Amino acid sequence: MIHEVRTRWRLLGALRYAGPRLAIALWIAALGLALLPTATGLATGALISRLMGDPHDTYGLTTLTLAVGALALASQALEFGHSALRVVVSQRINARHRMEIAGLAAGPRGIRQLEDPAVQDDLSAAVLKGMPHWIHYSFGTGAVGQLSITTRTIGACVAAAVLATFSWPAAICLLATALLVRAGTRREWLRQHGVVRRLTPGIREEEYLAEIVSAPWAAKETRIFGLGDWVTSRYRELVTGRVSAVAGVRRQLLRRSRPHFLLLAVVTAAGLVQLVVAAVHGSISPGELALYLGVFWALMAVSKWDTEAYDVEFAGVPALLAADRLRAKLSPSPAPSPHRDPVAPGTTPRIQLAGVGFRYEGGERPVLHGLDLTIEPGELVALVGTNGAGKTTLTKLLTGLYQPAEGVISVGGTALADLDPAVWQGRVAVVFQESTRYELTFRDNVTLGAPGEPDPVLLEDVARRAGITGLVDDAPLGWDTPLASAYSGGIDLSGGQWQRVALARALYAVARGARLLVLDEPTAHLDVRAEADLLARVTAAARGASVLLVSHRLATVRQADRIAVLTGGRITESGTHDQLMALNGTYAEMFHLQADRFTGTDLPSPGKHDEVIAR
Amino acid sequence: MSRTEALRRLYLLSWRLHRGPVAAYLALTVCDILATGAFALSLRELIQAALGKHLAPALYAAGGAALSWTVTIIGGAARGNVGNLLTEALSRELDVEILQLIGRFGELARTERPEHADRTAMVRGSGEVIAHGIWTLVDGAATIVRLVVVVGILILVAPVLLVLVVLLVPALLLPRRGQRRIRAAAVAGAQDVRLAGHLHTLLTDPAPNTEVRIAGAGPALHARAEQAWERVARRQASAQWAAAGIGASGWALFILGYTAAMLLIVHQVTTGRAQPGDVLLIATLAGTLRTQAEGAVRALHRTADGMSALDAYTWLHREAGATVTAVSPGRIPERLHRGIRLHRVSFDYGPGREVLREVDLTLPAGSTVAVVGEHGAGKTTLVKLLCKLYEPTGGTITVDEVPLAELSTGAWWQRTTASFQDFARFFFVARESVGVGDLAALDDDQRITRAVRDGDAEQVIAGLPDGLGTRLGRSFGGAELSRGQWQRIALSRAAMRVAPLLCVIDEPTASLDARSEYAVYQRQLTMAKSLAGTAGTVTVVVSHRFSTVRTADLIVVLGNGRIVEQGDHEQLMALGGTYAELYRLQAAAYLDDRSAVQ
Repeated sequence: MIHEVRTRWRLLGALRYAGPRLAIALWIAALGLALLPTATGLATGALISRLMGDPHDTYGLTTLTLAVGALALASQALEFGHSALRVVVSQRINARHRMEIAGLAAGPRGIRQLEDPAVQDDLSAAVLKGMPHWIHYSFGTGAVGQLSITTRTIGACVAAAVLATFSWPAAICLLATALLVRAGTRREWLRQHGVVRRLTPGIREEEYLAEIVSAPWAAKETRIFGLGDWVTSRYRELVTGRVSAVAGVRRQLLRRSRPHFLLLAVVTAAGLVQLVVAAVHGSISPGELALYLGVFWALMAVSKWDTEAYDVEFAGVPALLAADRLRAKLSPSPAPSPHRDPVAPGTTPRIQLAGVGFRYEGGERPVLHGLDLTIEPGELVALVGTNGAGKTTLTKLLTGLYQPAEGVISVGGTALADLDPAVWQGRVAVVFQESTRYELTFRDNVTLGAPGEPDPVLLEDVARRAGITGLVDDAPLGWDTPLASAYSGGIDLSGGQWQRVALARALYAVARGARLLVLDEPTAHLDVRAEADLLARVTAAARGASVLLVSHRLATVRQADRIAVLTGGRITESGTHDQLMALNGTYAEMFHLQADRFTGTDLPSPGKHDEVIAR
Repeated sequence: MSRTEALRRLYLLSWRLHRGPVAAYLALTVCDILATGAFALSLRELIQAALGKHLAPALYAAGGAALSWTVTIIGGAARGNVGNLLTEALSRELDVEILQLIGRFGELARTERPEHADRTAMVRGSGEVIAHGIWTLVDGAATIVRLVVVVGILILVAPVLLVLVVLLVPALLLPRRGQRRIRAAAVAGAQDVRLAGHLHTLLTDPAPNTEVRIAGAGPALHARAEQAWERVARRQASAQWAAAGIGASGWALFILGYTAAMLLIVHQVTTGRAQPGDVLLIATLAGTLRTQAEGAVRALHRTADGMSALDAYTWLHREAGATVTAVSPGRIPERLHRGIRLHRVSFDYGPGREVLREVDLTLPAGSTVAVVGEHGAGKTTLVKLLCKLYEPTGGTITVDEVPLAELSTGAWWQRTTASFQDFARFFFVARESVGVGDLAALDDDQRITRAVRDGDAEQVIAGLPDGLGTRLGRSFGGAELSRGQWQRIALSRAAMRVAPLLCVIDEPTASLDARSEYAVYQRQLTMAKSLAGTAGTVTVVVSHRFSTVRTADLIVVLGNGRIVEQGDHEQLMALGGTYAELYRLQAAAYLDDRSAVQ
């Protein structure tokens, strides 16, 4: 209970994210709105009282009437101001909150924390990711909603205090009833909403099925395999299940609202009767009757349940708690590694992996175990292995994103563990198979490869080397063209074009001081002609940086200075193409698999190659 | 189907589905209207009776006020819930019907047109909006009746109060201008909202964040996100302030009128021409008037949304009605004897947007045909025409001399199987994701296991926690597969059919490593041979990888919508044209002695 109150208090505290001026303005508007009904009741009562008592006091009557009008005007203005403030404040809060969450996620704690499913769940919960389209609440509306609930309760208490001058037992009884009905109704609606929300994963499934029937990505297969009716009948089953589950709670809510109806009607009637009897017996004046009536309705209005409770319960509180957990998990570790650059100016360091092992949490066996590999300065090393051999893991270890569980990775003689990963990462450039597509301008997509002010001369240079100059020239806004058609003047690029952009970005990073270039399947999306000369161009542009190439295309791989074969979590073969071919091991077999189909010795003897496949 | 017809149909459907709730909804609506008038009148009566010291009428009035007020508060919430109940029930029927109608679209070219796709996307899942619109319409009518009741009572008290009704007009119109500004700001800020969301993903999603971290782009992206939020917030704030100002000034006029009316009534009370209770009545009703008027405007708005969704729904009815299947279904042969022939087949997306030009081609029964060519050469279109997903805009395709156009589309699809380069990733359990390749065999584990083997997906399935019973797709809490693994699932799906006449394999090894590429290639070859024996199946392979292509019985080189070269590998190499050039280019990378390439 105390904990809950504290959480709600902290949620109110989030209003400060909007800045002191906006927060105070919202407080004033909300409090004003909550107190105005009582004030209006008092003014109307005073007016009627004066009307009955002294009908000829024109000045007094006019003043009171104008006061009633002024209060109406104030309430109107406050209402408009309040609704604007709610939006503005909640938006500001959301922005601050999201930036804080993004800051935590992108902070110095490693990528492994980010890959933790629990952290990902909290990241989603903190910003309410993946909500269905009909939900409009957010952390901000939760905080703002909590304020509305609080001030409305204060308003009811003030009204009750005024009514207590007539009869304090009646005031307490009415306030208690109103709050009880509000709490009861709220509980029922929240329960109902909870059921609807729990069915949301099912709704996602429904939407997915509906998408299969109608979306372009599945159109060919749904037609050829005749899936339309099958998917639709499955859809009907799911929707029917959900709708009847929701209908159940809705009916329940309707049944349960009956006692609330009775209680509220009886208590309201009793309160009114007490007022009326007092007026008829003359113990209160007609003016006082009007006054108390005004306050009476201001008090009872709080029994209407507040829809803001949705915002608080389903957005504000969960987001607040998720952010707490993220802060605990992702805050920077107390002792950062020394900020030392392992690379001497103008040199390329030797990179050495000695006995490196790595295992994912919950993984049955280590992905890498006892791995030794040296990348000499300026060397082009190709890494070959089957899908899932651990090549991606190895690149993450090399770039300092993962720490090895055993063994040592050293750069220029210094262990990576003793360095600030961020500094080493400044010395590394990568091109992943699925490279990151920044929905930003062409220029940003290249220059974000390295921190610092963009260098226009360098930009043109790497564009030429990566072969995107023509692409940039053809784009409607040149370098300023956003690379997503959803933005004005923006364009969409094909997979091959994106790969070239990623390459340009990596070359930019190399020109800005990266000494290790990691290429992970850089030619997957490129066509025959582009693939053929890519590697030569890249190595020419690498300016003495070491290159690690990960690829299935052995025709590309064979050009490397050295080829390392990764199997069973270790490097099993290492040497030049000719050496490995002479060795007649795994590499030679894989190479033959691809090459023999060109040489005319098709359909080689099954025994030899089936053995390779079975491995 | 017109809008009125659609409305009539949907109301009747609701009534048939849920008589009780429909009756309850209407009853609650009537109660609500009555309560609005009763509350104001009871209050006046209460004051009057109390002033006149008449206890019994005063007590009745107190009871009436309490009851009508409670009806408004609790009854309103109940009505909302009955409305939800009705909406959900109706939207279920609508959404299923909509999907059935969409599923009836056969030919792909029409559905791929952007305006068709947009409307389909709009109408899909819009059952709730339509159903909601139907009941909002009733709600709107009720609000207008309530408004009339309130105005009627005011005029009964003092005809001069009609002025208040006139002043409602600017009060209601002006806020709409403010709302428009807010909407305009939202539209103008949509790009920034998208950008901020995208940047948030870059900073919090581990996959893109890996690269962001290595590039050290985090701080720059963070700053940009902050700027984007700032722009969104500023734009929205200025629209909100403007809207608040406009709205408040509209109502200020109304309040002035209200104050004037109060002064008048107060004056009338002092001269004995009105009752003190009237003051309270007006004070109460002015508030009610405002609520009702705003409610009416809101209801109109929401009804408009529902109506435009309803229009999309009637469009869908017309469009699906226009989809006709083949008039005189020809017989699909049990097995192919001669093959599939294209006679001067052309296809265009409209004038000047020709993709294929007068293509003549024979795909002999039982043969494996490879289609190669650069991007945009027309490979995909050719495949879609063979699959009867497109209708040729010129020429004919025949299957054993029977025109494909005369065959029932559904029946042809039943004898076709395909795996496309942009294959679908079905997030079902693995068994189904493969098995839907032949729905009749969805429960046949033997068939599915065989298909898994033929698609080289055995290792993929073995790596799943529950084998074939594993749910796929991370978004549904299932296993996530790599592109290469998904591709093998798609290939397995295509291997489900027992005796297809046409088998299309589009870029079979694009995402596979050397070993899988080899394995898949071998299996496809074996499968093509065995199908050729069973049903005279034509297997069409589209590929960039020339090593995959060379063993085909027939290689077709497309360029610019025409057939540039055709023949088997030896013939094309001897020809020394495009094929030979591209083949040599790829092969050279593997071979030390270029002259050995032939």
